[in-house]
Amino acid sequence: MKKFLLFSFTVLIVSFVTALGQDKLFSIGYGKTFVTNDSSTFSFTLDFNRIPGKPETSGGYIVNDAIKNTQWGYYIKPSMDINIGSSISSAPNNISIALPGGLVYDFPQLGKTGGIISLYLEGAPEFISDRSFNNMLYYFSIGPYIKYENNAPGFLFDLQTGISDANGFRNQKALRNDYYGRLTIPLYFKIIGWKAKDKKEFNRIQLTNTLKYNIIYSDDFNITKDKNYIFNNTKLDIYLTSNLGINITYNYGNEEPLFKKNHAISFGLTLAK
Amino acid sequence: MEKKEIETGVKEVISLNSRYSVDEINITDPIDKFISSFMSDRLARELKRKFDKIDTTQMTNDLYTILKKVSDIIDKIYSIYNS
Repeated sequence: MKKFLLFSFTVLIVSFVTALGQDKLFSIGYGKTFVTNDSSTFSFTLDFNRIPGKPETSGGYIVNDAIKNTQWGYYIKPSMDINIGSSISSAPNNISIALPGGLVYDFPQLGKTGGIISLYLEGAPEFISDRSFNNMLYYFSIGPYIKYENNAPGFLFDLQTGISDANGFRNQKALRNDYYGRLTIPLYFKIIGWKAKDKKEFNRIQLTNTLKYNIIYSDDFNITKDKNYIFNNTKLDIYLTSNLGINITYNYGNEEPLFKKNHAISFGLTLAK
Repeated sequence: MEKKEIETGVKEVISLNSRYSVDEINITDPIDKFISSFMSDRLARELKRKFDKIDTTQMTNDLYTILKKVSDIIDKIYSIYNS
């Protein structure tokens, strides 16, 4: 009953955040996990395009503003992701909520075709849970990252990297709390090609890849037996209309909060707004 | 502020953040011909630096959702300055 209430609460929060967000991605997939060789897995994600150490890539800002007479700005933006599958090997099976905010410096364009760079100094209170809410992480992450974007006609290349340090607690049902400390080096890129004269002619193809290298320096080491973990997510979305797409998702590695082996591919539908 | 003045300013901001010169920007074209919608947060801040009456947060979220053409940005800023 408690789990059901917690899940219901999460859904309510999702609904609230969804109301704030503008790029809402719902994806459901069917696929295979290579850990158990099971070809009948499913996955479900509510994807607000966030990776730890960087803000959402679109919409839903509580604050986004420029500081007068400078190239600095500041922002606050809530985020939430739900990644649930039929097993931990088929999906990260986590729920994450965060409130990233910080300062951003907008560098001038690097020539007419050189692209644009922005520097972010970001902090965020974050909550990560497994799907049963038996194992939860609460922490504050902070760090800089840099974003490079090159926008040619009908084409965007977006690259982001930096470093973030997270400090907080791991809470496990019926166990004492443990200090949790993590250093993460994320590398994220996105390549998008589109044609969008109007809704009827809308086409978009989007490849995103998120690679995270995690160094765990404080934790319940019964959970994180190794100190170093990588997690990689690759996703190809082909949008048939502005709201409907098909996707291929490939996960490899170990992800918060349980850091169990995840290696799977799935094929699914994406609904966006 | 006159609409022509706003149009010139918006074109300058878009030009400074895209591959296009001011003369190549047609206000009836979609914004994402010049700047990807994924860069709307930056575009909103750059517009604020040019037009200080803008509510940047509102502009950001509108750029992600309801503002589709360059002329939509011009109309929105015009309404802010002339309301």
